[in-house]
Amino acid sequence: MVVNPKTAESQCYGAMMMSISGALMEERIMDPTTGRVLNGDFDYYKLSGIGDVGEILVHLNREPDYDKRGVIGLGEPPVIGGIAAIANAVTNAIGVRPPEVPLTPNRVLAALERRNA
Amino acid sequence: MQAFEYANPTSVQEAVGLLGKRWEDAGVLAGGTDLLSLMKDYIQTPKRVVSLKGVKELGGISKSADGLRIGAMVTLEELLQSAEVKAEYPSLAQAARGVASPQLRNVGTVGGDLCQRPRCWYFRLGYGLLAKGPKGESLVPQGDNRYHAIFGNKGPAYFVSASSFGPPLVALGAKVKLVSAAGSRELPVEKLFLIPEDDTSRETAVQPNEVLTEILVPPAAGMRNATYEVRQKEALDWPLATASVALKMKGSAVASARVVLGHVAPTPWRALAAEKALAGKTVSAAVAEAAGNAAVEGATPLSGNAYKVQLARVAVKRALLEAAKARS
Repeated sequence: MVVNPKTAESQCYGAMMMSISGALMEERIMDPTTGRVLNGDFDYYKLSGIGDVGEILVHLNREPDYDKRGVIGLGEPPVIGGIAAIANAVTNAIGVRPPEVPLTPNRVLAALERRNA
Repeated sequence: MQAFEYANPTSVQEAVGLLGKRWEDAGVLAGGTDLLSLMKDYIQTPKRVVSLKGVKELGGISKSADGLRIGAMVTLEELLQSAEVKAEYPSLAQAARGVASPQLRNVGTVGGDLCQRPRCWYFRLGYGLLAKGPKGESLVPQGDNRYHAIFGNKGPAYFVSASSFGPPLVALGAKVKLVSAAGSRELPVEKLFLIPEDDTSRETAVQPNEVLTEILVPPAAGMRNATYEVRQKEALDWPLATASVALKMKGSAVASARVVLGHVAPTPWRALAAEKALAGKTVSAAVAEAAGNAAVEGATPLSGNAYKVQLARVAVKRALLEAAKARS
């Protein structure tokens, strides 16, 4: 049940941005030799910025049947489907599925190479 | 951050008098977008910080018969907004635009861009410019080297030059002026960048007692130029590979070309085979693609960065196509 549509939508906008970052950028990188985190900064722990986020449309399904479930949380759940949707869209676009997120240039090019092999 | 003495000179002469013989003596502060993070991370701990913000003679862009003079303290945004740069040196404007943050473009300077330290994460974590592990071996070949060099990486250096303007300035045949208390010298930008061979050397020819004061770009008449940058993000991000091209034209054909790759080697990297492949040709999609292929001949990728070869190849192709359609 959506209690406050404005804040619920706002949660979803944030979640979609996290989906973009999760699907395309976010990754903790550990050094195999020293065991240290190599990207413990915002230079290389990449997050989507304004330029990476296109238009986001949020539609909240507010049928009486859904409302019967009562009030539940709406923080992170919308992130998860977004990541899968972006990965599916990339697969659809390039004809091969890079098996891991984030879909970095490295992984997308490797997938394309497998397709062409 | 280690405590330091702050100096605020108002002339180049006064500024160079405040520098020392060793890097630990003094750090030069321009926009501060790199020096301050280096100091916060204790990668550099200068006893004195010499700010150039009060040195008016280091500002300004001016055009003469000799070409364009860019003061070292000109910000990226000033360069981007300059009518001369927009009209004749699109490769510089495109490189400035690649720093996709208005905040950084408003404080970061052209001189600072050339003098900034590499972004190698081992260097930034305190393992030194040559990224040495406990036994003195480089951590890069066995480690995570996805953002490291694919050219000029025979060791001991594996980092990539972080400069955005290095590649276009090398392509344009620009020079820099370096001033110390003893006098001044001019150096082609191509000779400004060095591949260090041991722990005592750095990635540029700038000495601890010198200030980079200006950049001198030759006239662009009859020349086409462009920069193309491949980044993972549209928003602020370090490039994965860039290409800058400068084409001297004879009619619709290329008389001679300079093709310089960025972020693929410890220095801006001349792609001589691509330059040769372009001479006498009219730039078409096929010619640009062939030049891209020639540019990455002889690349020596490490364990985790072979993908950068393809990015460099495409960057060259797209920079050439961009230059070909630009007004000369």
